[in-house]
This record gives sequence, C-alpha cells and structure tokens, in this order.
Amino acid sequence: MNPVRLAGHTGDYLTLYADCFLVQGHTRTMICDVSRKKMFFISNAYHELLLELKTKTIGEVGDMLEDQSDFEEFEQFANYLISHELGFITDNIECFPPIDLVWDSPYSITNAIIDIREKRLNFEKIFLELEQLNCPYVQIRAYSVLSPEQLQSILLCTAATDFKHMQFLLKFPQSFSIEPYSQLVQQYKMISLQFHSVPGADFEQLKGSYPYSDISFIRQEIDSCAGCGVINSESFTLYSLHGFIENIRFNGCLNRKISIDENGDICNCPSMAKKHGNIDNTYLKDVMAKEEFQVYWHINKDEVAVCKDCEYRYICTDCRAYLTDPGNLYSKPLKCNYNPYTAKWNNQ
Amino acid sequence: MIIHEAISVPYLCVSSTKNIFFNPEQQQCPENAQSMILLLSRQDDGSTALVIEWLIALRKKYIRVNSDTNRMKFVSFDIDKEELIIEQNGVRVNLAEVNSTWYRRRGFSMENISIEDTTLSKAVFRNNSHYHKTHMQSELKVMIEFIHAFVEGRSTKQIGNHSSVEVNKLKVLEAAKRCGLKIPQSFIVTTKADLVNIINTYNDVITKAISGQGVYFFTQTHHYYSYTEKIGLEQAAELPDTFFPSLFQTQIKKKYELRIFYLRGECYTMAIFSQGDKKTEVDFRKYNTKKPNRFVPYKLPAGIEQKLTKLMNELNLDTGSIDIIVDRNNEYYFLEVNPIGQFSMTSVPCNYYLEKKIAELL
Repeated sequence: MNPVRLAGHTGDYLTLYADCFLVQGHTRTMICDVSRKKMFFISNAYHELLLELKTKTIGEVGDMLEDQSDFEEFEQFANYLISHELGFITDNIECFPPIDLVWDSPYSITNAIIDIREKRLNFEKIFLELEQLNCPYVQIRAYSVLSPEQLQSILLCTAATDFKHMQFLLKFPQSFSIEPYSQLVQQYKMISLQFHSVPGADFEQLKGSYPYSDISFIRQEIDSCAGCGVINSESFTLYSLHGFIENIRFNGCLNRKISIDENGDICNCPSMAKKHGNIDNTYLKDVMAKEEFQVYWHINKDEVAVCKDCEYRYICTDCRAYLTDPGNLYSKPLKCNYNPYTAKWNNQ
Repeated sequence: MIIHEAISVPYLCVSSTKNIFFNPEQQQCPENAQSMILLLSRQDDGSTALVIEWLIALRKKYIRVNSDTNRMKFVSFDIDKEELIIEQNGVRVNLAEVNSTWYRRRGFSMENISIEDTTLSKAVFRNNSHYHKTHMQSELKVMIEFIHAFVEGRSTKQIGNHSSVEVNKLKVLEAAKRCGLKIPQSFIVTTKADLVNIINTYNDVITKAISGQGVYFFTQTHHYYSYTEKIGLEQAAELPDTFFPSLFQTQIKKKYELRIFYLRGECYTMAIFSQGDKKTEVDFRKYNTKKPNRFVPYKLPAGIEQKLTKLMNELNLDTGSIDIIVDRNNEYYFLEVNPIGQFSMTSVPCNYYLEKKIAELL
C-alpha cells in the first residue's frame, strides 16, 4: 500500500474506526481494537492529536503543528493508523458516530460461583433459585475431591434448570480414571470439567490423552478461593464488544454475579469478607436485590485509585476482594503488579 | 442510583414456581395470561433465540412456531368458535389468543401443517403421478395464507407480515427510484450481444439473482450458493449467444457499504468497510476471517432516511434489512431490501440492542 500524503487531504478528517477505543493511561495510551482483539500503544501526545482530530480537519490540525518535522511525524502516525486499519480518512465525519456505550443484559444474574469443600450444600435449592433468576452460567469450584457419584448427585439437581454452561473445577483425585467423568460429560451436555492440582507425572500422562475440550487438566494447585484475584497479562479479557462495554461501565468481575462460599454463605464472590446470609435460610433473589450487594457491580475502573490511570483498565477483570488498602473500597487490587506510572510490571 | 435501571421490577419479582424456559421448543412462560406473542421463525434462527431471552426478561408470554419442524403442528380450525388450534407435546394452543406477531421467518409450512409425507408421496393419478402434489401445494398455500391472516388480524402488535414478505426485486428497484433514491443502472438481457454492449458501455458490471437471495442449496456432497459476481468480457465470452433473462447492474465504485436495519421508521445503520480487500470487494458475504471487515455505526443523512421510510411504506414493510452503497462522491445507491434479513449482524457490532427493541415492541 502506498503511503498516504496528508497534503492531499487537508479538508478531510482522520478518525479511528468506532470499534477501536482510546484508553488513556498516565504514561501511554492504548488503542484497543475490540473487534480484532488487538492492543496498540501510542504516546499520550498522539492521544491529544487524535482528540483534536475529532473536530478539526487534517489541515487545521496540521496548521497547529510547529514545524515541518512535526507534520512529517503526523503523516507517519496517520499512515500507521491506516496501515493497521485502525483509522481512515473521510470527508463525511458527521456520518461516523462513536459506539453508544449502553450496556444491558436480559439476565438479572449472568453468572454464579459456588465453592464446595466438606459441607454439603443444598444444590436443589441453589439451582432452582439460580434458574428463577435466569442465570445462564454457573461455575462450581471444589477444593476437596468429588467422586463421580458425588458429582452425579449434584448434576441430578439440575433436572429443572436450563443453564447454558456449567463449569466444574475439580480437585484431582489420587486414583484417577477418566471413564466415569467422560460418561457424565456425555450425559450432561452443558457441563465441562477442569481438574486442578494435577501432579506433574499425571499431568504429563494425561496431557492430550482426552480429545475433547469438555474435560481438561491444569497443574495449578487450588486449595481455596484465596488463590483468586491475580491480575496479569493473562487475566486480561477482551472477548466481545458487549463484554468490553460492560467492563467500562461496571465491575469487570462482580457485575451481576452472585456467589455461595464453601460454608453456604451468599456473597458477591467467595473471597469477599462481607456475607449476606446463608443459603440454608436466605433466598438469592432477596440478596441480589439489596443495594449493599449491588454496590460492587457498579465500581468501575475509572473510580479505582491507580487503576483509573492505567491504560489496561477496560480489559482488566479487577478484584474487589483483595485490596492494597482493605479499608478503602476503591483501592487498587492487591495482586496486580502493574505500575501505570512507569508502564512496567514490577515483577519483571 | 445504585440499582441499574435494567434491574427494574420484572427482574426482581421472579415467582417461586419454575416456569422460565430457554428451550425454544418449550415455549410457555405462562405469566401474563391476557396476551400472547407468536414468533414465526425457523429452528436455526439465532436472532429469534436472542429476542426470546429479552421476552423472558420482560416476562412476556410467547409461543414459537418454526417452519422447519413438525413439533408444533396444525390441528384444526373452527370458524364459528374462532378456534385455530395448534399442538405441541400434547399441549394445545388456540391461536385466537395471539395478539402480537413477529414474522421473523415463514412460520407455517408443509412441515407443520400436513399430516405426514408418505401418503402424499404415493402415486395417485395415472400417467401423471405428481398431479396431486401440485393440488396439495395449492391447498397448502391457501391454508398458510389464511393462518397468517388469522393471527395477523388479531394482533394489535405486529412486526413484519406475511403478505409483503416476498418482495419483487425489480418492483423494489422501480419503487426506490420513484422515492428519489439512486439505484445502479439495471438491465435484464437475454443475448450475449446485449451484455457485451453493456460491458463495453459501463465497464464494471455485476450480475445477481432476480429473485430472493439467489442459489442456496446444500447436498450431501456439495454446497451451492451464489454471490453477487462481477462479470467482464472474458466471462461474457463463455456464455451462449442467448440465455435465460438475467439481471445485470453497473458496479458502483464503493467507498463503503451500508446495512440498514429498518424498524418502524427508524434506520439502524452500519457501515461495512471492505474495499481494501479483494475477497470482499464485490460481495461482503465472502467473508475474510483473517482480517474481518470493519462494522461500525453510521448516521444516514436525514434525506436518505426519509426516502427509505417512504419506500418501506410503499412496500408495506415495517421492517427489513436494506443494502446501500456509498460511492466515492458520497452518493447513496440503493441496492435491495430483504424483509426478513439478519439483523444481529448489525445489532451486535453497533451495540444497537435491536433484539431488546423488538422484544419491547412485541
């Protein structure tokens, strides 16, 4: 592709495609290409330039630049955007509105986490209530071994439900045979099983031995909910425009989530100290309707200290359970090592 | 202030009996007894499922009839009692209760109206074993037309309708022109000589089906489907001297393409940037998965919106997907309208929430 000469476009506008979002951080700005799921980083000076370009023509912006070398850089930058298909030159910018950042979901609760260890939870009640809340996604995390029979007894309680997907995180048992588990995933099409804490030797042996994605194995040892809340480049999420906008407007982890911890206590997430009654004597719908429960849904990254200066904030899941300052609801997640003021990960 | 407005009353008063279904084949949400929504669709239509999610959230009662399955079947009609009975899983429903209809797809068909196929496939008449089939088709046509009229006549709320769904592309082009919209130069010719003449005059010429969406036919071993194709002198040379009447149009030099979901006077417009890509230059449905086209919201000039509304009114359509090309001089060329076109492809990338809007209108 031939480079674009801006001199021929002084009356035109240079604009980003609406699905490429600018996220300004303290040190640099991310262009988040949401449709193609790619991140680009530019200096904040170019962010300023792009803001000017929203209302001014290329010629008008060119006139604001001080000397010829600035204009050449502007032209290089324009070509960078055009060649990466992040932006385009247009003579009818009024026809290209930004994406309206409205967010909604037909589900009053979109996902639920249920932790189990020794205590036997009343799954019949839990599933019925989740179904009545129209919750489509359920994750069950087991910290002690669940035999295939125990797993089946939980699954029997799903008879009157219509969950879209149920993910089980299961502790890897000492003597493991895949057969009874693979029968279960065949019988219950909406489930997937992931075994955690798999010893190295078993992991090597099992790796690739099962051809489908509904049973998988990880080495990571998970013995309680305390392992959750880690924020790193692997935990970033960018799977859809809908999810991205939710992350801008709401809390990336807790919005429309409800959880039950291993004691049966209802909470936003099992790691959070605040509990809202026990499932044995409390209805989920009563908990979720409470203002003090929903307050966490609405804490977005623009409100969190440090995070509000971070260029990753709209693709970050956040964590409101483990905080740098436990007394401050709006403090930075404890398990995040990124420093937006230096644009560096501290552990690297 | 804390409670998001979407978490309003309907979400929070979930009753204690289990009556919410996601399975599109188990369609009752029997809350609001005085109104029932009829969804006419096909099993494979994802947009219907998305609208249903919102209907459930809004606690509206609905039934879904798919044209490609006999799980929901016609039973009987009684003109005096005003009963039109369909049955599913042993449960009978009187369609006279319907007061809201969404014509997403055809809904009623041979599949869910005829008793069974085996009797019909037997030879009945001597020397012309298929005569009776033609007759059954005419019977069926009247039945289907009537059932749609029956439910539509009782619907105080309605999106889409049976009688206008089969648009005639050529009539539409004429109507668009009458409404003041630009259209590509369009010709139907039957001889190679005429075609060559057109190509020589206009250079860039495309051909596409006169009816519907063209060929869309899957066999066990082959998939056949037609796109809009460019046709030059080379391709023309391969044609016989005379051929079946075919539609040719001048190719518009596009800056970008627009897909507009029209709903009750509103144009939800999306621009498709595909010009940088040889694969999708002529027809964006030839999708490039490595570098997907850009789909972004677009604001139509008010004048174009007015002309489109006029056209849709003339065609008696309250909804449809409209294709427009914008050329390098910012001229808008109307191509066609599909009354039952996909709209989630517009709704999702532009964040328009069309599925929710439809559910609210029903």
